[in-house]
Amino acid sequence: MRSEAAAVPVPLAARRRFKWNSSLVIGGAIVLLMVFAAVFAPLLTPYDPIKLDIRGRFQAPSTIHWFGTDQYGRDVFTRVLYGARYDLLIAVLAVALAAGVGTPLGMLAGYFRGWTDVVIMRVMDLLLAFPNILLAMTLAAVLGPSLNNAILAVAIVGIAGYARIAYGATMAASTEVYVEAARALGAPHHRLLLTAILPAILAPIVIRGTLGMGFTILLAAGLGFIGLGAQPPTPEWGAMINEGRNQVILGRWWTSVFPGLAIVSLVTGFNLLGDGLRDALDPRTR
Amino acid sequence: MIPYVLRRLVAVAVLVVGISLVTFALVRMVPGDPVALYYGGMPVSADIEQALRRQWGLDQPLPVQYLRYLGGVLRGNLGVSLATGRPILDDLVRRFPATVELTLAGVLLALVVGLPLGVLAALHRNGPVDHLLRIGSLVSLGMPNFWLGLVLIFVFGYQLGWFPPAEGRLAAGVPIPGRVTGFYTVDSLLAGNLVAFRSALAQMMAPAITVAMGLVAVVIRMLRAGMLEELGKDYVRTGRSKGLTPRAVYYKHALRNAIIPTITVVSIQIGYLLGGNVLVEAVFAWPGVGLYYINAINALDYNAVIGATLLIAVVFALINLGVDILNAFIDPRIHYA
Repeated sequence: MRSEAAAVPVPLAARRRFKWNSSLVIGGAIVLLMVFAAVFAPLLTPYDPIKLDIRGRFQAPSTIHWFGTDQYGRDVFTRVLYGARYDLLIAVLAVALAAGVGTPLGMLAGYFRGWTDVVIMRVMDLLLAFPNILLAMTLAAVLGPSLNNAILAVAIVGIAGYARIAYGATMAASTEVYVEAARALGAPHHRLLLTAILPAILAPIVIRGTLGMGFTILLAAGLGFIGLGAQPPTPEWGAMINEGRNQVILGRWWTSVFPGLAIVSLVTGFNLLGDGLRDALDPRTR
Repeated sequence: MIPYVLRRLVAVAVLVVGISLVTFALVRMVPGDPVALYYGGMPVSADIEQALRRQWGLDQPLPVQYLRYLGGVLRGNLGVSLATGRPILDDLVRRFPATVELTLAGVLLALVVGLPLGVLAALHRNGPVDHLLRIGSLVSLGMPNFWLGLVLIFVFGYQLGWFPPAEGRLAAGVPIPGRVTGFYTVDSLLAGNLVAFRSALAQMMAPAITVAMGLVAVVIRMLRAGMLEELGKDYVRTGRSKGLTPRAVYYKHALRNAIIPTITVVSIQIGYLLGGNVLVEAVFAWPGVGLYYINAINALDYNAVIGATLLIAVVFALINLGVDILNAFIDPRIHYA
């Protein structure tokens, strides 16, 4: 099996190894739907997500306001649509940052070993010594409440996970014959890392990144909920749940319930997509 | 065994020093000057400022400041809360039982619900029950716990009236039982105070369900996978062929082996719950470490925020240590070179 895969050109091998599955399709569809909502929000709703309409506040869901209106008279459906922009943006930026910092760190540690390994991976252990939600909240609190700082905090918390995966995968890839061959041919470190090792470890990083999106959204929404993330009137879902919090106790459930359902949908979508990608890309799970 | 335990102890000690390094860095990251912060931005004379800086050691180089900080932490000095005016460690210790009680209740509930469901899913692999449970687990993993808490408050509190309002550990007017363990459910029973016991239990229902919800899916997934692995092993076939009933093979043999990794994972989750439950405590006004932490964040009481972070991280490390050592005792197959 392995020798056969090595014989065919890479693109074909990749195509042959990729197998579609239902998790992939359903998860992908949910995520695409959310992206669609985020991009076309202004076309999908006649209302403004920020503008106040005090006379029209606290309306229960109806055919006019599908998700009702909040305490400022804003259409909740509209805010959920626009909210997709923020939550997707947070997820993509934070995951890109975390993977962008964590992956090279893990690669360096796994490739050079020795002191590089000890120093980098012990620092990563320290990041993992804190329950991640707590570290994210404390960082966000210390940095000051804002959307940018929330993204930064969530990204920092995520770094160690990517470093660990890249570390293990790099060590495994370093012993592969083609890497040794490239090394024997005199390829410098940076070329070995970028052209021989990076492509080999990309699959687990991509899988982790996809699964990490869901986790990141939950984390960022948590920050928004306690006022450390996006600030009002930004229609970020976590912040919206917080704004509607006192209404729920009075029976006006819709202001908090719908943004929460949006979070559940998007996170579930990313989790399905990640599971599906893992099954499609990782030959061991088949 | 003993060398292994010793080595783990040393590793945890190093980790705690590392944790203190991180929290010290966090203290230094706090925006604004500590003296200005202390006086709430009021103008301070240069003499007083100088004296305060010397008293707090801010005139010393950073490594000296860190060593002082570490020394304080090791002696249990996390500083004084600006909001409550009391030593932070005292505040935290007083509130810790509330957090532990809620966490344990949630874990217990998750096990009581999750273990049978995990077995069920494994025995009916790929059947309708298994699929249903898989979808349920998937959705529950996507739920923010603070949102679930609000939904429970609305549905079971507001609509159905099953749960009392979320106002802490006891209903208004119910006196707090004398402190023995700090767990109100236990203390009220010890005092023979059934009214307090019932109230404590009722107040805990909704937050405990919220905590359990995030864990049930983990329990089901782990046990299902563990059971399936065990059911494929030779001893199960041997048991069946020598005439044991399926029930005996599944529950007396396979389940016992499958349950160990599940319990390990759940124990480690307890550490994460101590952090994650911060938001649940905030939603239910549950007066534990988490609510203290959230209040400190809102009050810009940075010392208290970082102190709580440090305490939870240390407890987290100790739980992981305990789990490792327990596992080494339980499973003789594990050999630690």
